[in-house]
Amino acid sequence: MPCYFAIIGAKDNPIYEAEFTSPQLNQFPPELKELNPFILHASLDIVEDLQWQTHPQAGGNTSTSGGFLRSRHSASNSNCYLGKIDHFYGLAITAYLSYGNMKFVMIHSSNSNNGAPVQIEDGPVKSFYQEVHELYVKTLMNPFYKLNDPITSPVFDNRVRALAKRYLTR
Amino acid sequence: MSQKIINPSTSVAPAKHSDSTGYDYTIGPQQTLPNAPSLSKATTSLPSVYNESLHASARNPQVSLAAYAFLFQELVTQARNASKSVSEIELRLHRNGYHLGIRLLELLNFRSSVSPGSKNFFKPGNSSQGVNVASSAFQEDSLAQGIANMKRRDLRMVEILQFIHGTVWSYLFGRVGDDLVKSSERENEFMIIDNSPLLTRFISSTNVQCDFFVCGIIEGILDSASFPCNVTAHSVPEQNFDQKVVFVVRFEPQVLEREALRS
Amino acid sequence: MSSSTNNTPVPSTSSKKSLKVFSDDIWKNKTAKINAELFTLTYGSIVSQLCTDYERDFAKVNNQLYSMGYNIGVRLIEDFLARTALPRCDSLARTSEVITICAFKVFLNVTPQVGNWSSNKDSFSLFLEENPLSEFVELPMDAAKELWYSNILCGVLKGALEMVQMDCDVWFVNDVLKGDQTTELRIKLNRVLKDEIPAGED
Repeated sequence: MPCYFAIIGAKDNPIYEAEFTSPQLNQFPPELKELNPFILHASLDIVEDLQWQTHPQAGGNTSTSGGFLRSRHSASNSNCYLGKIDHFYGLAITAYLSYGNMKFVMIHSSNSNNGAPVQIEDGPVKSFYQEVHELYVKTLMNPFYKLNDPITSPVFDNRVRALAKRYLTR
Repeated sequence: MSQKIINPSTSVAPAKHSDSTGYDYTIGPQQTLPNAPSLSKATTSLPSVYNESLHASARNPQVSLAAYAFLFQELVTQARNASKSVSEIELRLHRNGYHLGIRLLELLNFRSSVSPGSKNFFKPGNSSQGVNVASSAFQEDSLAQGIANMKRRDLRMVEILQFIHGTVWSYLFGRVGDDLVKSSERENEFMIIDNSPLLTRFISSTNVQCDFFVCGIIEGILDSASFPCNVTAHSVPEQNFDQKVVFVVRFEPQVLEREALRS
Repeated sequence: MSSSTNNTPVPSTSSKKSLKVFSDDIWKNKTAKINAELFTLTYGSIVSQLCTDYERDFAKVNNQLYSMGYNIGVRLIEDFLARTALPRCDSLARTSEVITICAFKVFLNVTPQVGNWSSNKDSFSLFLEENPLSEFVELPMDAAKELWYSNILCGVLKGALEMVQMDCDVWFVNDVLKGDQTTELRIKLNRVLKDEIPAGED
């Protein structure tokens, strides 16, 4: 499934953007491709709202089963991964926050064109975010990297794409 | 419409990495992904931070305090020589500390997320070749894979201060801070107390400078965690602790407002 | 070579071994220690700050790091001699051992390898397999050519050696940060200062 992924800095500036598609299968339709950054930015308000909630997932749009069980379990204990936070026509938007409040946001599109809403598999998506988070921490550890600067490293780009391939393509 | 949209991640032309051009919005997916052997250490490109491990035990854990003291003294000298006023010296040292703070927030929280029992927890290999082990095994060497759930982001003033007083202090100075106190007079004011600051004890005649530096670390952590504040250090010598320092953290009003809204 | 006991530090395997045992003991039992990452991060903040201060004139940054190192070296040697009480080295070979096996060990907890001796034995290289200064560093493209990230080490060695009457040139030849295979630091003895008896094997 095609995805558009971005890391948004403290000033709402994108520090990294990528599109995960495969040429044989699916791509974002051109008209949608242009819209991605706007859709994504529109959902930042929701991220900022969830950012300070004690149980961000419970308050989110995800209507996963068993709110009671959820709050008892580790999933609600963790507030980096926010899960699905928004949707826009057939698209789903997920988000993740790093400890320094970098916003990791992704637009998921469905494989089919029948307009069916995208199903988000929290497990792999969360793993993807956590691994990208690790890459981000490594970026930050470099003394020459300045907070909120764009991440231009081709190695970073390659790693992120490899992670997308591992976790997001089905 | 042009396909070349704003492209921040390629604003600096990458070089040397002939097998990858980095992020380019217009290219889309690449079929040769870095898992392919072509990008492994056999390539003689610049080394990358992404090949290093975030594992705390992946590298030399300690250096001598003497080496650090010498370095720190030069840091202070450098700040003095480059400054025209006392406040500029303070500012520079503060900035050096801030540089550390923003990194420690992410690094230490990320590390705390790894559960010790996980299969990816670092097993010290043949220590004599620690560096080689770390670089050759980088594909498997992901901390994230050993993380079931990330440690919670700290949302309250007290939580994030406990992180500093506990985790950060132990990491930097080998023990937790001596006390964490809330001011009885001001709602936004907290105090982190260190009875015998490690740096000041060993770096003579630079007490004040050490404090600026540590203030910078604290403020870097709090600021990047979205707890804007002002941190000052106050020397409070006592009978048994003649170098006792109190770090006073004063949060900006919006932090209090946010906290009041949620509770 | 004279018939050597442990007290005559002729570069032999046995004296090298005892120097190692001696140094390991100092590191282990007589050295106050601190988190190496604090050291790495602090040095990183110094270098990146210098790059900004000197508007990315990396030749100036190299010089500044060198002179900071020099200032450290002239003070550090005192601390080193006080802690180790090692006798004067009778040869440059011995000096190379004391630097790598002892000095690097007790200060930075690493042991560089010695190699690439010149034919007249007046210069040699240190190979740093581990470098606590440069963990997590990736040089920006504009710095990759000119900046010697760990140049402070050259200054330290220069200053320290000068205080024991050895006038040396110290510089980096290679650095893995620049894509080189090794991190190699070169030390060349120009002359022994003052009226000291010249050392040497020949």
